[in-house]
This record gives sequence, C-alpha cells and structure tokens, in this order.
Amino acid sequence: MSTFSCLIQADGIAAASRSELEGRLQTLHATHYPSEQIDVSWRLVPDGYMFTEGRQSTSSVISCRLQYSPTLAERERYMRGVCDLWTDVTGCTDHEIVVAITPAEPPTV
Amino acid sequence: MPLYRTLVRPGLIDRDQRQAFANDVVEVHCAVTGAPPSFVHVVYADDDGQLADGQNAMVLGTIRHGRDAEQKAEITSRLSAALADYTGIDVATITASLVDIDASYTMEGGVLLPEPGSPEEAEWKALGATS
Repeated sequence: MSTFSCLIQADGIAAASRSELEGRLQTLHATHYPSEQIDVSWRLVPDGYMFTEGRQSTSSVISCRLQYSPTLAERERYMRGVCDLWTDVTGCTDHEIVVAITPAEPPTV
Repeated sequence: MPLYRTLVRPGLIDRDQRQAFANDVVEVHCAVTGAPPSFVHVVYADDDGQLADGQNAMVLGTIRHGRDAEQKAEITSRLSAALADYTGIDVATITASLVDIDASYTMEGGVLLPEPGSPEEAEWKALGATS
C-alpha cells in the first residue's frame, strides 16, 4: 500500500478539508495505479510551529511513499496532479504546496 | 524544500525563540547554499520520546543533494550554535544533521526542484524571488 503523510496547518483550510483531500488523493492515485488503496495520515501543525521564509507558514507538505518507482515524467505528472487537487480544494497557491515522492526503490544520492 | 524539522524537549523553546531560530535557518541555509529564502521551511515538534537520554534537541534538515561536506558542516554547526544561543540549551545536547534528497523527487511552486548548479536552477531562483 502506498502512503501519504500530510503536514498541514491546524487552523488552515486543508485541515478543514481533510476528507475531501483524502478522497481526491485516492482518485488521483487510482488513475496512476488502478486498484491500489492508499493510506493517508495527517499531522496538524499548531500556530507558531512552522515557518516559511521566516514567517508563519501557510504551506502543506505532502510526502508520498509509493510502492512503485515512477520515471521522471510519471512522477512529474503525479506530483502535478497532487498540486492541482490541493489548490482546487483549498484555494491555496502552488507556492504553498510541497510534494515529495519516495519511490519503492529510492535513488542513490 | 529545504525542510528543517526541529524536535525539542517540551518547555525548552517558546514561540519567540522558534521564530528567531527559523529566521536563522533561512539566513544560514541561503548564505551557505545560495537557495532562495522563499523555499526554506522550518517545522517544530515537542519531543514525544524520540530524543535519546542526554539529548535536548534535534535539527534534521532535508536538502537537495549536491552540497559538499564543508557546506553541510557549516550549516549544522551554525544552526546548533544558534539554537543553543536562543534557548540556553547546552549545545552539546543538540544534534543537527542533514539528509540529501534527489531534487527531481520533489515539487514546489508547481515545478520540480532543479539540481543545484543546473541550468534550470537560475529560473527556479527567479521563481522563488517573485513568489
């Protein structure tokens, strides 16, 4: 099973939209990897516990641990899809979203 | 990205100190790497049992690979010192480390992160400057 770990602001729109976001992530994942269920966990960050550029953060960080090893083009499409659904549901901008993929076979860096 | 996770024993850091240290993370990371500040994230958590005995704080930075050992050592030593300075925590009980990631596995600002030093990086830096 592939897993999503989402770090979001506790008092932000994403926190209030978790159910919809989870459903949309499942739908997105199924378009890339049909029939696999995903597990989504949430970490809600209280006010004053996350900063971006030294200011109170409004960002979401979505970490996807996949059971697959997508190519560069595949993971770009996948992460683009996550950004699109996130902006659609929450109204945030691309600059407030970080998406990271950990593949089944992590690259050697 | 970068994302600096900072784990501290409960009660050892307050909001103003978290803000001050977050500012230092931006300053140090950008000074050493040249990365745009708008991409620097710092997230804190109160320790829930992950810290070892004798350890009061841990800073774990996830950064794009391509930084050399000297750059990494400068970042971790300056951040440990800054956190100790702001909180009064003994610097010997602070652990700071960095984990490299392959840039192309992360998207931020709607684009894949470029490799450090790549031709795409200049465009990305401009994006960060305007965000």
